[in-house]
Amino acid sequence: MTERGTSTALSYVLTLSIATLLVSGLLFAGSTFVEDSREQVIRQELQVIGEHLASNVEQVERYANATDIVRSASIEQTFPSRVTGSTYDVTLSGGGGDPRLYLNATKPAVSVRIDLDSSSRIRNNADAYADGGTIAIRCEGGGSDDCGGIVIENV
Amino acid sequence: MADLRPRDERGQILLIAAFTLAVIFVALALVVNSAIFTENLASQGEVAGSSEALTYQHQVRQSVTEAMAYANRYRYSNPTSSVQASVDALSEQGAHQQATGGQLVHVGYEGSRSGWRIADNTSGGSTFENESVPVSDQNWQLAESVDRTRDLEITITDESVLSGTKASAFTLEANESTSEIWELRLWSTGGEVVVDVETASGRSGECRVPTGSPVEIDVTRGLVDGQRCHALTRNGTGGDRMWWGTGVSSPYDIWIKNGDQIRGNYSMILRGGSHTGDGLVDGPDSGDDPFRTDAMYSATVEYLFRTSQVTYETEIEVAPGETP
Amino acid sequence: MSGRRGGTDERGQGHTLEAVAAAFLLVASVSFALQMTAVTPLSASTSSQHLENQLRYTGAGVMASVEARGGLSRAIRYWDESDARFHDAPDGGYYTMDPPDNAFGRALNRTLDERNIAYNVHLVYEGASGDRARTRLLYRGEPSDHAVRASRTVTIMDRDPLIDADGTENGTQTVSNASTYFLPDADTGGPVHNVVRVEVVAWRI
Repeated sequence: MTERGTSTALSYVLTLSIATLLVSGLLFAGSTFVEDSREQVIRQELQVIGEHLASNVEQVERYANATDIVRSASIEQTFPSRVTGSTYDVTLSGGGGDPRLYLNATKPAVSVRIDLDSSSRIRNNADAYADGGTIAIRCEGGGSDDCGGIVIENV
Repeated sequence: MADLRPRDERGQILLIAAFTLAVIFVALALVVNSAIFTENLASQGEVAGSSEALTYQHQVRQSVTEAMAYANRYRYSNPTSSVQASVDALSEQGAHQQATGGQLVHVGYEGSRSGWRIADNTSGGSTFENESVPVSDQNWQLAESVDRTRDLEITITDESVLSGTKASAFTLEANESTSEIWELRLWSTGGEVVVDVETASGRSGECRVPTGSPVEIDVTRGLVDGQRCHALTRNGTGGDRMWWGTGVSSPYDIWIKNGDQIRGNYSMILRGGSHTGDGLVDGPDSGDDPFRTDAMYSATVEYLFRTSQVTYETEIEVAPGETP
Repeated sequence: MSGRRGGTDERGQGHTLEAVAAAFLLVASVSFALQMTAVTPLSASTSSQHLENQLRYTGAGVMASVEARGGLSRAIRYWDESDARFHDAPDGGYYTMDPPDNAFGRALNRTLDERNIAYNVHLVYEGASGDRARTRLLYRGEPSDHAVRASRTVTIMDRDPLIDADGTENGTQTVSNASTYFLPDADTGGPVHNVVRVEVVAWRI
C-alpha cells in the first residue's frame, strides 16, 4: 500500500517513543526547574524571616539593657506558617558559643543560619525552638526583676 | 486508515504534555507568589510599637525630670507628694494620648531617695564667699561626707571678677583625702574664660569660651554654654575619664577655694552628707548667702508599655544631671 | 455491510468526541495556566514602604534632637500673650508658609523643607472640658495618601514661663497666669499643667 521503506509498526513505535522521550524530557526539566526555584525561594524567605526575628531579639536585648530592673519584656510577631508550601521551625541557640538563629524547612530540607550580636543573655537552651507561625521573643529567668536570658517560643 | 492512527496518537501525547506543562506553570506560580510575598515581608519595618516602647520611656524620664525640678524648686518642704501628684497626672494623660495609637502605658511612682540642695541664686550674681569666714581666707567647706552630687550648675555673671592667673583662680573641689582631689578652676585670660579640670590621678584638661555673655557651666552634665566640654567628660576620643569626682571615692567633701575670685550663681543637689553649719541658711528666702533646702535626689517610677504585640514592664530610676 | 456501516458511524462519533474532548482539554489547560498571572500581586508598592518608614523615623529624629535641648517645650510656650496667638503667626492662629522662628521651626526647616517634604504640626492635649483637644501649630494642606506621622509627648508644668519672640524666657508671664494661652490646666490641684503630644505629619510632594 505504501511506498515508504519502513513498516507501519516501526514508524508507529518510532513516533511514539520519540514523542514520549521529548515530552518526558521536557517535563523532567520543568519539574527540576520548579524544584530548584522552590528551594531558592524557601531559602530567601527563611532568610527574611530570620532577619526579622534577629531584629526582634536585638530589640528585646535593648529593652533589657535600658534599665536595671526589668519585670517583663517580650515581642511577638506573626509569620506565615508555611514557606512556599513547606513547614519550618526556628531554633535560638547561644550561651556557650556565638548566639545563632537556625531556621529549618522540612520539605525540601533547607537550613538557614543567622548570626546574632554576641550577648550574654541568650541562653544555650536546647528547648528554645518555635514552629513557624506566631513567634514570641521573651526575657526569661534571672530572678523576678532581671532579664536572665532571651528565649523564643510559640504563642 | 492505517496512516491516520499514528497522527492520532501523536495528538494525544501532545495534549497530555500540554496539560502537564500547565500544571508545572501553576506550581511555578506558587513559587513566584512566595517570592513576591517574601519581598513584601522584607520591606516591613519593625513590629509596630517596639521602638516606641523605648522612646516613650525616654519621654517619661524627661517628664519626671521636670516634675522633680519643679518640686525641688517650689515645693521643697515636701517634694515627694509633689512628684507623686505629677507622676499620677502625667500617667493618666499620657495613657489617654497613647491609647489612641493602640498603646497602653502606665507610669507609677514607686519611691525616691531624698537629698538636699545648696544654691545661691542672688539676681545679678554674688561672689562665692562665705560671709562668716574672715575675708582674708576665702577657702571654706561647702558640704561634708557627701555620697553623690547631681545637677551641679555654675553661672558666671561677671567675668571681670575672674582671676587672671590659674594659681589664684576660683576652685571648686571634691576632696576625700590629700591624695584624692578633683578640682575645677575658673579663670580668665582677658578674652576667654578658661574652664580647667584636674582629676585625682593628675590628668587635666581645659575648655575655653570667649568672654562677653554670662557663662553657664553644667559640671555634672559636662556642658559649657550648652556645648559638650571634653575637660568635663572625656579627654579626647577614648581618652581619660574626666567627669566630676573621677578618682575621688565617696563620701567626699566639697570645698570652695578663692571664693572671691568669681561672681555668679550656683546650685547643686547632694545625697548624703551635711553642711558644716557656717554660712548656709535654711530656705531661699533667708538672705543672699548660699541656702540649703531639702530636695529629692532621685525618683523611681514603674513604667509599663503594652500593645497587642509588645510587652515591656520595668522600673526606672531618674536622677537627672548625674554623672554617668 | 451493516457491520461496516456501524463501524464507520462509531468511528466518526468517536473521532468527534475525541476532538471535542481534546479541544476542551486544551482550552482548560491554557486558561488554567493563565490564572497564575492573575494571582501575583503588584510588587511596585514595596518600594514606597521603605520611603515611608524613613520619613517616619526622620520626623521622630527631628523631634528627639530638638527636645534634647528643651526645644519642643519652648516651642509650645512660644506664645504672644497680647496677640493671643503664637509669635508672628498669621491671622488663622497657626503658621503656614514659614515655620516658627525657634529651634523647633529651624530644625523642621533644615530637615524637611530642603528635601521637598511637606508637613503639618498638630498639638494634642487635654481640653478645658476634659476631652482631647487638637490645635494646629503649622498647616500646609491636606496630606497625601502616603503621609506618615511621628509624635512625641512633652509635659508642661504649672510655673513654666512663656517664651518671648527672641527666644528668652518671659519674666512675668507663665503658662498658668497668662489669660489668653491656648493650653488649659488639666490638673488644677497638682503641679502638672498639661501633657501635650506634638504630631508631625509629613509627606513627599
